[in-house]
Amino acid sequence: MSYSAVAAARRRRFPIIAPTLAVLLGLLVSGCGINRIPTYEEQAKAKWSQVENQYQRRSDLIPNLVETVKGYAKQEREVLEAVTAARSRATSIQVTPDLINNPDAFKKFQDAQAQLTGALSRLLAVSERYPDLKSNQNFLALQAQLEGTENRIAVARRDYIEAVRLYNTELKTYPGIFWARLLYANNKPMPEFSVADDVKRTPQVKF
Amino acid sequence: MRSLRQIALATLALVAALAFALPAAAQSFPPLSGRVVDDAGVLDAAMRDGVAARLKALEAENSDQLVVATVRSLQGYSIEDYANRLFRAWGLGQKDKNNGVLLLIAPNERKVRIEVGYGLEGMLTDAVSKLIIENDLIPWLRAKRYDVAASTGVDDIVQVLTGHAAQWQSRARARPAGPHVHDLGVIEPWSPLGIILFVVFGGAALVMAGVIGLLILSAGIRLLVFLHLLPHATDRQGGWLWLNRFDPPVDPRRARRLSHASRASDSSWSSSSSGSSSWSSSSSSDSFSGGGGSSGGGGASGSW
Repeated sequence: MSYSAVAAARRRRFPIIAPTLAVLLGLLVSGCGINRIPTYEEQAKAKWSQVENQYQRRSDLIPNLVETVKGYAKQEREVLEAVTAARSRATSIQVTPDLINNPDAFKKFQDAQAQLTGALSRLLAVSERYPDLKSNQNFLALQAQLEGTENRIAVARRDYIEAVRLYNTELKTYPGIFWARLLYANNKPMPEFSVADDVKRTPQVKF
Repeated sequence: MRSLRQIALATLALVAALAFALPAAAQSFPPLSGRVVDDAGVLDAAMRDGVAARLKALEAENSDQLVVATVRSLQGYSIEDYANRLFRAWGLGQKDKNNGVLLLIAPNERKVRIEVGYGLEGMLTDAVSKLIIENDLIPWLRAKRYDVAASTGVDDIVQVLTGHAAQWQSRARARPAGPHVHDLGVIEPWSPLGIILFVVFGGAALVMAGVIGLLILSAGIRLLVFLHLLPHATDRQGGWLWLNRFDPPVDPRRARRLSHASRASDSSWSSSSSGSSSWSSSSSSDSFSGGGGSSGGGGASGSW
């Protein structure tokens, strides 16, 4: 008898606390999704500007490299000119933070950088044939810097791809999808790098 | 019907259990057991301690975190990829300065790399790292004298980081650079498993945050009840008085027994809620740990 009275007393209190807590919990859970979309978007943009930085750094190394190689291997004119032309094509593309929102410009940027990568690897393969060049301290330093920059580009691209996946996933899954429709209707998924660019094919020259 | 408190407790317990049931990382890195991590077991113990002492002195001098590591296997990754992930997993360098350096030796794959954090890329440039590797590390590694290689590498890096690079560079220039075979390493594609793990860990972090939020919420409600800002379960104050009409007729003795019963269950709730907050993890250790810095792929590699 006392148990049912206790239970009855509890049942009377139930309708107040339970719905209040449920509403508060609901707000807690759903409210935290609202900031994720702009946060992830800003993170992805920051990673993209880092990618652009590293590509720019590579472009800056190239004139010095071309001059050094010319000093020893003047006859390799086509390769040197190809590198210089590819570099100017790559740097002529206006690199703005807005590039990721423009799929055509993004693709052009990717293609230009991929061409530059190809021209560079041909140049380095050709320079393997000149032992004087290969033992030149300046050339070795440049080569080390170039390898380091290529690695940095790879790391920056990895970070960017990861940030973009987070952002794109957030736009498509609960609860982000509600906030996207409600507040961020203009936000489109960001582009990722195409698969072909992710694997850098370079000629491996060994003696 | 069970009380709300019991349901909330059960939910908390379930959520906590789920949070801990999530899987650990699939790529296994050796733990950061100290400043010299000898996973491959090729370093002599006495030399290891000497090197560790010098590394500790470097950190004391300018907070740079230099770590020497040997690994048994690169698990199929390129050394650039593995070194960068290991660096980030260990979080070398102070968080605000990113001044970490990792000297990684993989004796089985015969590769070596110096991975430099963002903050030190200006001082320990790629060219300098390459020179250290080619001139000082590779000859010793080729002769399988791993501890001498590590020790010499550490000395060189410490000289560069403490601003004595000029001395070291003049020594290096005097040495003739032998014939090199350079191949631009194939960059591995990003693993989808890594993305999945990142999302999983992000989800786990959110769940933990939700659980902590629930605890704070329950504590907050209890505090408000205590301060009489929210009505206590057994009293009907102010705006809740209209619910009196739903009370069945009850005699005063039974009412007192009811209020005692509910207060007893209140105290049991508070003790169990404080008990459930004891599972927060502690990760302190009195030895070396990473400062939370990161690396962007700077440095140089070599193979022998």
